[in-house]
Amino acid sequence: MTREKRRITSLGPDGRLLSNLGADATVFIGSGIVALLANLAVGSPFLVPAFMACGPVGATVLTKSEGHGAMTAVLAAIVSVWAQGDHIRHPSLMFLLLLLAYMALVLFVGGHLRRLVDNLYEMRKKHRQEKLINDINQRILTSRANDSLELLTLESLCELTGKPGIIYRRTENGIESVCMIPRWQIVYPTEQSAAETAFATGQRCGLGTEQYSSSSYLYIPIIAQNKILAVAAIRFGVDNHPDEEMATAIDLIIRQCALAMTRKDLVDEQHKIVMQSEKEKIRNDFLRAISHDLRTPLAGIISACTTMQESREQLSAQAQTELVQDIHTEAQWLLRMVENLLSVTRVTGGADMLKKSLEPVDEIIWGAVERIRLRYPESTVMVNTPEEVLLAEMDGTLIVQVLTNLVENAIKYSDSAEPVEVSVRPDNGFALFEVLDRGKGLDKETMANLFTATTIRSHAGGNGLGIGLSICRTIVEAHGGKIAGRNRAEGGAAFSFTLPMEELS
Amino acid sequence: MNGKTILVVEDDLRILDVLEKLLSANSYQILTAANGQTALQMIHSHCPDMVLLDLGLPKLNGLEVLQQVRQWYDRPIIVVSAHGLEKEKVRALDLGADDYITKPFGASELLARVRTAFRHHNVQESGVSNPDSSYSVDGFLIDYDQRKIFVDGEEIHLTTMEYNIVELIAKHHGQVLTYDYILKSLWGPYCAEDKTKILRVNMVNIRRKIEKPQAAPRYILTEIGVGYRMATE
Repeated sequence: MTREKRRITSLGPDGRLLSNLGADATVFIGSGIVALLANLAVGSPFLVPAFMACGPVGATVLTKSEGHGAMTAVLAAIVSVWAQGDHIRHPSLMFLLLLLAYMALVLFVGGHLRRLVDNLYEMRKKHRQEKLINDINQRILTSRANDSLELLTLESLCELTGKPGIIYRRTENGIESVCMIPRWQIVYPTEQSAAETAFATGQRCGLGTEQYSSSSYLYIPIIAQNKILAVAAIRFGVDNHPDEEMATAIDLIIRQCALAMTRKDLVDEQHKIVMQSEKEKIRNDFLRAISHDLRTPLAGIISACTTMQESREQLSAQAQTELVQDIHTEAQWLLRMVENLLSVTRVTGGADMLKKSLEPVDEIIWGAVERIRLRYPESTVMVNTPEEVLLAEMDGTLIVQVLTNLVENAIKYSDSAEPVEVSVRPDNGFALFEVLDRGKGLDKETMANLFTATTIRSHAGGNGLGIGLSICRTIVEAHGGKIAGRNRAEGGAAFSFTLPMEELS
Repeated sequence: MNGKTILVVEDDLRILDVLEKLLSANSYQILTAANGQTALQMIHSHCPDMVLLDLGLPKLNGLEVLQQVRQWYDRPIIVVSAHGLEKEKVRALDLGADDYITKPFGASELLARVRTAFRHHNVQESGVSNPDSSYSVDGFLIDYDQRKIFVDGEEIHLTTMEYNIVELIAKHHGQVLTYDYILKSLWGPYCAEDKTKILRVNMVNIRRKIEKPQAAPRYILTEIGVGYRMATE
């Protein structure tokens, strides 16, 4: 905010302060040279300071009004000559001629100087304006996605005109001012309705137009592709209409701004579409994998049920028990699957959906081992924890689920009766969990896309590894940790994941 | 124990049907209510011996029923809740539920919880005049009089704090105790929140001492995000 303020004030109220000073100086020096020449001709030492003093006075007036300037210059010449008492008392023809010549010279030189100064001023003004427009273009074009284009535009307009301004946009509360320079301007009802009119009609209004002509603001709609994006209001002041050049410059900025706004909208739109399709793809892959995984146990349940219903009499008691057991197992699996899916919606619902608290990692491992023992009473799980008690911020139920999934995979897919090892140890500020089995390890194909939702390892009787692992990854990453799978040198698969840890004081 | 009345509050009619069959088969009298409003009326009019209360109910949710009923109804209430709603379970226990069970549950699990709740209630009713002097499960023995703990006949040395925690959980065996409940029982009602960490670390140390190394705990079971439960036979 301070940046553009400084720039505006340095221009002065009408942006001509610098050029006045320049003109003064030029005429001052010009008069000095003329006075020196005259002095050489007349031979009086007083002429020099007198002319030097009169020069600025004449010049100041010159820059404002040509006629007065000439008059003052002539007056200045007479006064300074009159100050030469000797010549008044003994006027000579030579002196009078010199005086006339001098007057002519002053007028001539003054006029030329004036034009020269004017030209210089115009050139510099143009140059400055061009540079400003260039700068502004550059700024608008290179604006990043999160820069406020409205503020940038307003800054540019205010810098160009040296006037205060406001930008209005359409928000959910209707037409509202979105930025102001300087800040904290009050928008009166008439100004508000003028802005609304500009929005409604797409035409300029306010100062110098037919509608709201008494307003001190000029309201310019920013339009791109027949859409009114915003309205810029610049307070020129009631008697201060922008000149043609200024109007052109303003137009240029407004057009650039409209372009930039459209471009930004397009980029945003495109980004959204890309994100959307990416999401859609992931969701589709996920749904496909889930449907497949859910269908398998359901098919088992349905066939077991129909067998029971239709041919109970022919089945032995043991066969019946087995069928019910099958239904139970499959239903249990389905339930865990759904629990997993539910926890994914919890994790992907945002970080605040995680119910984190400080948990000792031992308890998490035990929690997982308890669950595994209920599901696989015959299997053995070895637990290795360090001497000291490690604590980590986590959503306990979710991490238990990760561990349970990993241990369950190790039991189901390793094809080995050797105990599964679960260990945890501190590792550079993280708690490193490892689940190790002594089975046949992971083949290349499985390794390649281990944690993506679409991997389904088709095993006799086994299913859901892919989704289970992708869910593990989602959960671990939501906690700021990493998950990895590898083959052990001594045979078997190793899965590990990390969680940021808190040192126990 | 037989012939006791249990009010089952459950809005899912299929589950209600199964529960009714299961509990009737085990000689309990069953009353049913499908929403919170009806549940309140039933508790008032029939004063059942136990309430099995689902938390996700239409009209008046389980927590509200619990809150209203607990002011005067002092018989056991077991809360039924879905997986992953640990906060809700803790809230229910803090509001005075005796225990909770996570849906879906096995028949034996439910019956065990029901029996545990009735037993604790009976102990409370009969007063503290004749409390158990010890508790044992699966090779674990705690002697309240001597303040000693044995695992497979061998004495385990615990710090005073550790012993107090184990004793509290053992006296409520089969029942889940929330972290908050344990903290308030041991450190008093104005105990600071940060004591949780001390309790958790203490528990890790206790289990390292009493449980078999490198295996799943058998005696003190973790209810992740809720609290601890001493195993029952």
